[in-house]
Amino acid sequence: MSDFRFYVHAIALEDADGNYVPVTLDTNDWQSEGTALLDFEDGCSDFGDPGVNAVVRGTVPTGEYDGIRFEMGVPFELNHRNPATSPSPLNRTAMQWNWQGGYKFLRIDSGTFSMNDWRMHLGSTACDGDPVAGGTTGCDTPNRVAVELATFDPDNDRVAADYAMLVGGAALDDNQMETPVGCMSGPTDSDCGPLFDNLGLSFGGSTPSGQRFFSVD
Amino acid sequence: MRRTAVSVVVLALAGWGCDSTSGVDPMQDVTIEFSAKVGA
Repeated sequence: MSDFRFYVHAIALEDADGNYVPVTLDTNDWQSEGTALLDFEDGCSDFGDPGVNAVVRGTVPTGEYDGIRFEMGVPFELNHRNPATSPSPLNRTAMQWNWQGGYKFLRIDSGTFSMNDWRMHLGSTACDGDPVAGGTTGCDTPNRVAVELATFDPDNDRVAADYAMLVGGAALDDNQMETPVGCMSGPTDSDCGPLFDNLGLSFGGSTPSGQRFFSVD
Repeated sequence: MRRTAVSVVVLALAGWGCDSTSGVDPMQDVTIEFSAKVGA
């Protein structure tokens, strides 16, 4: 495994009354404008960097909380801006498809980066407008992953992102002809089907059964 | 008339002094930790 990174936003904690209270994120190198990057690669590949980050920091009203929800991805209003002028962590070129084409919400690469290595890059597809000229107003398949963990104690628990759960049911040794190895979120790449289902995302009109990638650790 | 005026002042002071939330920070820091499991 040479890369394992993902963005999260819209984080909220569940209070004792069952209400979700938004977390106001701090601003630092790993989070800005309510969006945070979780980075578990340490620069072992050409596309990585030495810094790692496993936490999201913020503030909430004083109280007791026992649940969490968030979205994996970058909010639409930030997703198609000029990355060259975006603040960290929205300036990571390895986490972008192309200029204003949007971010890779999740990037997992196995081994060194070559055509023989399996990888999963998740992002919005079927977006209108010209990524270079700008003007994107929407994407038919936004592919942001909604996560809700009903039992989560922020003082004692961790949110686990589990690669085995992501690839469960996927034939990693097989690849649809004339498509990238693994899944680049292409709407016609059937290799994405099981992975999208494990993320709780519809693929090709399917009805997903709920995300299994994230759990309480 | 003078007795009524004094009572009002005392009640106002008592109300001010009984603010049970005085000194409590309405916000708290929170750190949410993530982990990555890579075993397939």
